[in-house]
Amino acid sequence: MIYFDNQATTQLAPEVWEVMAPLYQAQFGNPSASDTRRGRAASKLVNISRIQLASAVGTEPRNLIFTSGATEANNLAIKGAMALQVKKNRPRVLTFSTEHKCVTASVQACEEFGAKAEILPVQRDGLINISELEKVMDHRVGMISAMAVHNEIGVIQNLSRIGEIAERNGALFHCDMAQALGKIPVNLESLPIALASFSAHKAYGPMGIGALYVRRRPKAHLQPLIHGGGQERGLRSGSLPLPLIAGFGKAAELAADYLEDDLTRIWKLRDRVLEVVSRLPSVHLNGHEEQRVPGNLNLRFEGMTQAQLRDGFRQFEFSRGSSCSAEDLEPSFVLSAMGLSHQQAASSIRLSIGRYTTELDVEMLCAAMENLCL
Amino acid sequence: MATAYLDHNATTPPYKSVIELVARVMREGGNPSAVYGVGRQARGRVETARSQVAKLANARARDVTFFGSATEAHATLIAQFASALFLRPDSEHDAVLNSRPGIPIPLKSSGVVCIESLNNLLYSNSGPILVAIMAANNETGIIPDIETISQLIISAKVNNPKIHFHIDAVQAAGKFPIDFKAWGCDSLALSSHKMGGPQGVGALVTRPGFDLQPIIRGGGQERRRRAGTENVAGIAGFGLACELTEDMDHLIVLREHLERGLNAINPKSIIVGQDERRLPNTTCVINPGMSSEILLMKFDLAGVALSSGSACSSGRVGGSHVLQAMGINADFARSSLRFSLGRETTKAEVDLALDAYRDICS
Repeated sequence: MIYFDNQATTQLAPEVWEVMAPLYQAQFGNPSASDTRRGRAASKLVNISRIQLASAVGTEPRNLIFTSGATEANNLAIKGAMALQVKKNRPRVLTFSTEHKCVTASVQACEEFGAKAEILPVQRDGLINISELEKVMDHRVGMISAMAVHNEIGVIQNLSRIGEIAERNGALFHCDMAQALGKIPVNLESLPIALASFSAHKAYGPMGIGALYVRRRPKAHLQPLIHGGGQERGLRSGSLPLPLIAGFGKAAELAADYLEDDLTRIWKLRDRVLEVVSRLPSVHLNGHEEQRVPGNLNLRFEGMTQAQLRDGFRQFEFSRGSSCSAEDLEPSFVLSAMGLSHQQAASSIRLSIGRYTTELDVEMLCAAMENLCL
Repeated sequence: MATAYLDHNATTPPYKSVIELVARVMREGGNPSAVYGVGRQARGRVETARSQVAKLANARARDVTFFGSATEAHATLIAQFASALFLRPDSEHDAVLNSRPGIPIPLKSSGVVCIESLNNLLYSNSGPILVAIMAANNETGIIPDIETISQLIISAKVNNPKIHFHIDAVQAAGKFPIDFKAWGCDSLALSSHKMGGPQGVGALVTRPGFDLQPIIRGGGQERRRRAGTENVAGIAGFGLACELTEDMDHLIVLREHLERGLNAINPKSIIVGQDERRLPNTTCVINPGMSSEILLMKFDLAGVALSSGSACSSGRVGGSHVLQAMGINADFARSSLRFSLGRETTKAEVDLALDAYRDICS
């Protein structure tokens, strides 16, 4: 099987495993056990990882807390901050119909403590309509949550504009950056973002680890979801999984170091696919054509059934939407939310190109597409 | 320099074969929610581990939910009982104590739960009640009489079916047999890295039919009880650790050697719960007139890794909350040390610790 599902999860980078392996073997220690040498060594490694991640996303290490993944980070950011915003008479929490399920579910969960969840539509190209957003803003909005890079259609939202609108109205901007690390340059200090979530396994790091950026100035106030030993500034209790954190740190460092190389290579591979697409009248790209990451190709094969697509691409691993919902065999809710018909959504697939996709893989894909459509 | 790691209740080194498995699964990749080949393989890894954890706990695989840590497993369970009366001894782990305010179940001076008091608390309150009790204490190793507590709660449930019995088996698992069914509990939390598995994985076992509500929401993973892409390699490693685990009774001899040595070197030293049923690997010793903090520093210089209590609270000035919950005075509580041995601990390591103790005390 040829892997075209890099937005579901990525292969672990060998350099990352090299960092992790010895930590499982020899230097184990609980980073909270500050009374022991091993505990301190573990804690030092956690700090190094925090520095690596911080420099990859353009912030200071102390603004980052480790979580079990982006899903937890999104839940913590949205529910944790809104619990306090509600008390400041800012009960409105805004997000968009195409956001990841863990964001919309968290936003809706805020209603349990008195917030008002509002899920706004997006444009047909998948982008947020900035002027519509501006119209619904007022001083009762506590938070806007929007994804930087879309997991299904790859579009890049205009983060500075959304953040400015949030700040002008005194609201927090939370940004789900799970798909952004290693795909677009990220410089948190220069963006009007209060909270941002990250995932390691979408960027050639291990599964089971993520992070939340919690801005200090001006401070984004949060209430923890998980209480206990008070690790991670009291915002996220639980023993820190050292090997996973070290792996994440390394993956983040590589994401920054390889960003240009990865992008250049992936652009080329993607252009090759699009060149074939342009010759196939029944195949269209879903989502905005320019404002997108190169690794994502969400393609619509007009008139084709899912069975035809599955058969035509049987040598390839891909998905039809977010893999969290791959098991329900409904077409992607994201495409429906963008205004595609049920039929159009059902004839779309997501192919995602990554660091380890080869030219040969892409040639095989192009051949399969031509076979299927010509 | 020779070193000794006697802090296994903080975290354990994973089994070699667990490390190998984690490495293999990491390289396999695959998102278990994806429907194609490598995704299905990852799903298989997760489900195998679920059966392995279930077998260790004597529960059904479908009643096992994986989390990012035992702390998160506790948090998820406890969040569901926000309006219940929360009964727990003050000696519980911070993950339980700090989750929400509760009412203490008194302990006897021996450190075990006072059954009569628990009985009174259960019968003098109606409405939903959450009872949380550790199967083994992380600092003292003391094992309460779970069978009696369980009988008591089962009888109380006849009058009040809204009692939920939660067991924190984090320190018990891998050290003595845990038995979800026999213990008659409604939920039970486990941690991978305390029993030879990798860090970053915990599990909650719930009684059949229990509708566990997520605190982390999103995709439909873990039967909608916990969203987020599964830590496949970590979960697989946890499963294998559950299979490899065996009881630690062989450590009793080594611990006897340690405790006799400590008492011989410092006749004033007191082993906490010495006559109680305890984990075979744990020794909590009070060193009257000394300070835990300084002792730990000196042990550390001698290459011996220990702690004063739970790792999470290292550096806490008030002294062990566990000892204080047992009615031990604050001065004593500030002088305690915890030695926790592991399956591969050698006599040489224990002797190194004893040598260091002798130097410190002389």
